[in-house]
Amino acid sequence: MVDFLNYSFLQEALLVALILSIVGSLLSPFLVLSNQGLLPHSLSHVSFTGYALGLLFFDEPLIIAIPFVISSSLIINYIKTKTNIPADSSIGIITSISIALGLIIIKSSTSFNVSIESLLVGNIFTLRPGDILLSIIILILLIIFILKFYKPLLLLTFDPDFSTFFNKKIFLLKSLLSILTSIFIVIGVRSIGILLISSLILFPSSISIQISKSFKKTIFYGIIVSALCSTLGIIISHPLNFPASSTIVVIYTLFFMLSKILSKVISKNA
Amino acid sequence: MVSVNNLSVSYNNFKVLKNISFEVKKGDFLHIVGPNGGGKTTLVKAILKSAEKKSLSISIKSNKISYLSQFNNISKLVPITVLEVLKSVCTNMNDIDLWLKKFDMLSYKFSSFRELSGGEKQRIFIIRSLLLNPEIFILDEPTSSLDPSFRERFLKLLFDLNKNKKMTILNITHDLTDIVKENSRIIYLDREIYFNGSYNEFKKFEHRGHKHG
Repeated sequence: MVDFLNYSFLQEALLVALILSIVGSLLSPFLVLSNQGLLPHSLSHVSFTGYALGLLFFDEPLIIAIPFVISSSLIINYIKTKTNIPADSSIGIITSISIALGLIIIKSSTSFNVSIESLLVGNIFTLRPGDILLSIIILILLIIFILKFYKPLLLLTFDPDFSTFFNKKIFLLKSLLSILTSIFIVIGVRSIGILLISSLILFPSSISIQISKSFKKTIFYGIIVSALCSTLGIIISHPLNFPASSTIVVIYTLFFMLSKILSKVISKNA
Repeated sequence: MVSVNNLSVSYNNFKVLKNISFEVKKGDFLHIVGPNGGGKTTLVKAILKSAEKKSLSISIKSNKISYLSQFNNISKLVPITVLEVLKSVCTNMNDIDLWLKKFDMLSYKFSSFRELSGGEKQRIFIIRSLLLNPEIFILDEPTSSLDPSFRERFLKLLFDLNKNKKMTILNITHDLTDIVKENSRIIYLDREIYFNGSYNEFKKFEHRGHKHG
């Protein structure tokens, strides 16, 4: 442990994992509990194309990747509400198109020198200088968003029909949520990877609803569990030479099983 | 308060509503009856939509509208307490307690919403819609999941709000036992308006052979 704190790259990895997992846990209830769990999954695949495009033109691919993923998320929103394609299929379609386009771009470009694997699984131990700052910025933006729109967001998650009637700015709210999710995904993909970044959104609420009775506690437990899982993930993965993101996901799974058992115990004693 | 002028709604070339026109005045208690598929819910949706977006055929002279539907498309997954449900529309704790008490639900204040029975959930939704202090209250078959004794109390309360607070009420129903006889107006809707008048006149109209759903 003393060793651990001596390496600045480990400290940075821990800090970024912690921040990203908290951001994921804050987004989690509003996406997972309103059956939008596939959205982050598809956005992470969209970010593959975003990164491929970005790397073609700039040293810093985020310049293209962030606006690209944001616009795609808004298009997904549009397809979901305005066309008759079922939501899960439209998300599946967008996911495949993105991977297809990304691969074509990478194959046809001669100057592409980033390994596809590093995008797929990410690498939290080789962070870029801006990564910590970007993670902090998205965390702050998200906290402001939730504090400002907590009640309408709660209503949108719990009772979308009534929410549409009650809140006139519902489209704006949904779009802002999509935009923040997009930014989180693009930033997180670098360290957690395309394949696993969505788990930072999917797990927290799936775990916390097992033991929580209120919405506030669902968010709170989600944050605690995520902070714990990401910290443990970094501490365990490095000495064992495991990929950090995979280790975090495995730990999340263990916590999920634990929460299931706990919920059974709670309901038996109730 | 609400005026509907020559409203037609179609889905895929099928006319669900045809040239609907009627007026609702402040303090009216209007029941809209008619068979299933007669366009009752479509009418309500059109009215609610016009409250958000200006519409050519519907105008509403109030922005304090509340709406209670027959069954809410609520998420069964969300862990949420009764208090959280109510606080999402109202911050006045005294009002919340008052209404919870009135509906015998005060002891459920901190209970988990998803563990309530269907009737109890509906009571919470009734409270939620009343907490909005509406001038116009639109109900879409809200009593279907209430037990009979409570249903009677609820209808009495509506009558009371209508009489004493001049709340304008639009009640969609296909169960005529809902109809509070005094002071109420009835519209019979089966894609077109076949009847628009008082309860007594409606009885004669029914005798002439029109069946309601």
